[in-house]
Amino acid sequence: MNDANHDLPIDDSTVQGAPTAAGPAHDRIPIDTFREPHEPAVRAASTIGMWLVVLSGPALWIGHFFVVYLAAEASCAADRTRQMSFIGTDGVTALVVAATVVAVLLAIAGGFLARARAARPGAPDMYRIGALLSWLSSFAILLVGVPIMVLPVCG
Amino acid sequence: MTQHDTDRGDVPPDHRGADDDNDWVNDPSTPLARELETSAELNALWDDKPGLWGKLTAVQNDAIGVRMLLTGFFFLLLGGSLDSFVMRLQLARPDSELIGPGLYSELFTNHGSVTMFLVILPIFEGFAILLLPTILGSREMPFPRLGAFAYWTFLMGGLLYYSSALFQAVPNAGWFAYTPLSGPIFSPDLNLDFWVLGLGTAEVGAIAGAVEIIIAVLKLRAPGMSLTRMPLFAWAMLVFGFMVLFAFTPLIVGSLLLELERGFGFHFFTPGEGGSSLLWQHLFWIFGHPEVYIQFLPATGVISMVLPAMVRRRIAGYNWMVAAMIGIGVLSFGLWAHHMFTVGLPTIVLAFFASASMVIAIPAAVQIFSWVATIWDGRVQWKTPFLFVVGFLSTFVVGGITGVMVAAVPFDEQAHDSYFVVGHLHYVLIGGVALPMFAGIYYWFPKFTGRMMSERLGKWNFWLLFAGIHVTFFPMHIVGLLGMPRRIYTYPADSGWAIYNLISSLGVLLILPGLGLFIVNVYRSYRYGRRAGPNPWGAGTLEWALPSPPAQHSWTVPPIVHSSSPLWDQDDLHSGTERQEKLVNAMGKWPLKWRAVLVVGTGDGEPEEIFRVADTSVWPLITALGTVGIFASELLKFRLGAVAGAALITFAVIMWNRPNPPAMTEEEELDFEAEHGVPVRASGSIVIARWALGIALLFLSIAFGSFVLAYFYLRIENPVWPPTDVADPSIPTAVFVVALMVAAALSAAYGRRALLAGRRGIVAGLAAAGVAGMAAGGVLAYDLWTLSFGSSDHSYGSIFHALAGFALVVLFIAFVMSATTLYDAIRGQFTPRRFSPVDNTVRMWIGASVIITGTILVLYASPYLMR
Repeated sequence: MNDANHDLPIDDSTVQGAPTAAGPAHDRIPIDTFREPHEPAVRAASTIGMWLVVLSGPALWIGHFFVVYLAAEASCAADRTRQMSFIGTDGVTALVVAATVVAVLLAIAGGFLARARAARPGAPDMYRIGALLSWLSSFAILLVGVPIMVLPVCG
Repeated sequence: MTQHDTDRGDVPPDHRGADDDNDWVNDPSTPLARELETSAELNALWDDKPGLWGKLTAVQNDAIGVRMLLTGFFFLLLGGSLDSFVMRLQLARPDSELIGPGLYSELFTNHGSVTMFLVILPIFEGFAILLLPTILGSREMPFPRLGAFAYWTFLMGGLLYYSSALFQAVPNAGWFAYTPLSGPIFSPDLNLDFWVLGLGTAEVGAIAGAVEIIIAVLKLRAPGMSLTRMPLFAWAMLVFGFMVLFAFTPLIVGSLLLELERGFGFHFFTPGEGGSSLLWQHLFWIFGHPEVYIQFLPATGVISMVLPAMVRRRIAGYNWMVAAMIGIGVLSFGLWAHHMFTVGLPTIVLAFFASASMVIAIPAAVQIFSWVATIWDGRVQWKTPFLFVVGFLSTFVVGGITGVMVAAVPFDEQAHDSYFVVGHLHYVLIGGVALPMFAGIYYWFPKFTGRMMSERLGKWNFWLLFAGIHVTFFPMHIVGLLGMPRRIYTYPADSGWAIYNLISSLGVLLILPGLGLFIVNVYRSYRYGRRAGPNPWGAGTLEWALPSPPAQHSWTVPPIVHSSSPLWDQDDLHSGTERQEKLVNAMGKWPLKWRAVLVVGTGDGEPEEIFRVADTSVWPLITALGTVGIFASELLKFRLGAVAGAALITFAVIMWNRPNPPAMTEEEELDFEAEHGVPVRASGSIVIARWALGIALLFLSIAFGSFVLAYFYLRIENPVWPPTDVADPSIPTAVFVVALMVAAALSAAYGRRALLAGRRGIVAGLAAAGVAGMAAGGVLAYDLWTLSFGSSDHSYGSIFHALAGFALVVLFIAFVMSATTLYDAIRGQFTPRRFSPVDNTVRMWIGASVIITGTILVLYASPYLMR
């Protein structure tokens, strides 16, 4: 993750072109040009760090969902076909509770992280979107996990 | 705070330059795109060739986009309207014998399949391919030939599917083709093969279009258009593209398994042989439910463009809208089993899916409130596009709320497979998807024809459709709650359902003239409509700065963007920093008089590269012919034909990707780069090629993931795995194959390093990679050939052969790619500046190694690990 990216005035209304050779050297990587002198051809700032923060909530949701779903499905299918289950239905209950608590907390933390990033001067608006996504995801994870408190696993 | 947060003041007032007597509709207050004396030359450069040959080789985005729209609409008339009309005639009266149960089954299967696969997808991909370059301030889609291929496969897949009618073998097992009904025992005839193979071809087209759309939105934008300055339609299509990749790929894998079961004696879905009929339902619905949102999201994108223009206010809560679109896209992948609430899933699994199905209402509601707030804040022009927007809002909300109802498991157990669900889904799909399509067509028609559509006919069109929809589909909710099941061809007179069915059938008599008026309106307006200026609606997004219709290259001088509604917020579309202005003006002039397209950074929209986009070619058509050839041969059980089709595809794809001689020398490129600070790639992009390969690898990974899920699903269903008389897989073979793949990837990477460092070694590296890869394939194939069990012995043998076969196909792709690159390397085509194919070959070998290693772990190691 390239932290320097977040200092770029990406969505600032003051339009700023790509920095020249004299501009801040740390936030842009020279591209492959093989003739000197190397003029300020720049590779775009990597957005991977930004995407990781913005999409952390949805990723947690989908990760949590598939973990709890596959665990329940596998455990109940093992019961039905009389196989040894990895964790058993009690294990599924414990797993769902633990995974839900962890994922909700992580999603909330992701939301605060995104908000902190959005508050930096010149930060892209994508971080605000990331914070919204994290709040939505934390609630959605909670809603998926809560039924384990009242319902049996395999029924 | 960014500009569009702080600057929510009044947008320019209505300066409509024409009244009803004046045959020229335009808002003269908005800025226009700059034209140069080179415009005509650029237009000719970007145009397709004339004549029939020109039509066959066309790749230009306007041509492909319009073709997709027209083809989608053609299938809508066939499968959307004709079928439903006959079905409603049959159901209008109880005990009706107008058509028999056989034809009725064919009609409802056809109606569902055609509208879901052949209507909505090509129409929205058509919208995107037609509109995105103009909206984003670019000149073309990134892969015009891929767009053409997507179109041809859609068309041929649709025709292949529809040719079933000629053979009196129309698919008849429902649009979801549930096994075992769709399996070889209960559907031995060709009907279901037409379903699998015709729609399979169209699915390939959907994925090809999605790849092109994703990269267009992420990389081909105007300078300054950061992600949060993108129009919401682009956001919607971006999410759509990823959803198509993640949803259609499992369906293609599922369809492949079904055809292997139907045509080759494999067992995936036959319980007696270790299969599971529920596996098909999972594979189908993990596509099928996201599919609903795949159709809905582009519609919300269209609404988010039309509505602000019609009320002259920028959208309220842009960030919330984007978050809602991404949220819907992700959440929609956790809903699929709500179609399976009654099949006997574990209790807690029902709860997981019910929760997810309800929670998706939150982002959907965010969108609704955002639109309502925008209307509230604005001043409405009651033109036809806005009528359709209001029709959408009111109808979709009803469909959404009944959706939350059926998300509740106890309610669904009552309403499942009843007409309540039919009412619900038509409110969602007609209200939420079809009405926005009409809104979009009325809205953008003037842009691409230079003529306004008739308001008078438009209003009749809307009210007939709107009234017809509600008269037809509202009674279905009631008759469903009264107990009428879906997919029955008739019902007894004493059921109490007759009056509701009669009302529904009468509603169709309003819908059909509504559709007819639409066709009349399109035709008449195209011929005689009032002239449209650049911006007849006074809208704020970039496409309205171009002449109507726009030139083939859209933008002579690419715009420089400072806002999400540039036409409302900027006095001039081409002013920015000195560097930006110099660059965009240079794009309009020599030395870039070839098909030059600007690539920008994903996040900030700053120029990253200028590359030469592909021009007209017949090879996409040939590739599509090869694709449909494989599928058609399978229909005829003419297996040699399938081999010929595969050979044709391989050859055509190689020819399609043969590089043109670069339009500039490396020195000229470097001079431009030195002057403007942006690399020029007249021989083809490096950035875009990397993205394309990345997405291709994502596609292969999703396919691999689907196979793996199928493998473990079958594993869990079978207590004894492998079956008792089958030996465990050979570990030495596994280790050997993985080692060879690692060697292939390392050799290719070595070759790339040598090339970039200016040393010899590229030929040796690629040659070694090819040899090692081929050896890995040979070992795997030999092991497969000498196994003690066959593909049709048991589900273990079936999934073993299917997954290993998939791995061999991945290896074959890497090998062909590597061999063509090797050929060019021997001819000395690559330099440290022009090395994109080498780059991609290396990445392909790495990707293939990962997938093969994963395959080996699943097939050879997991039986030992899961005792």
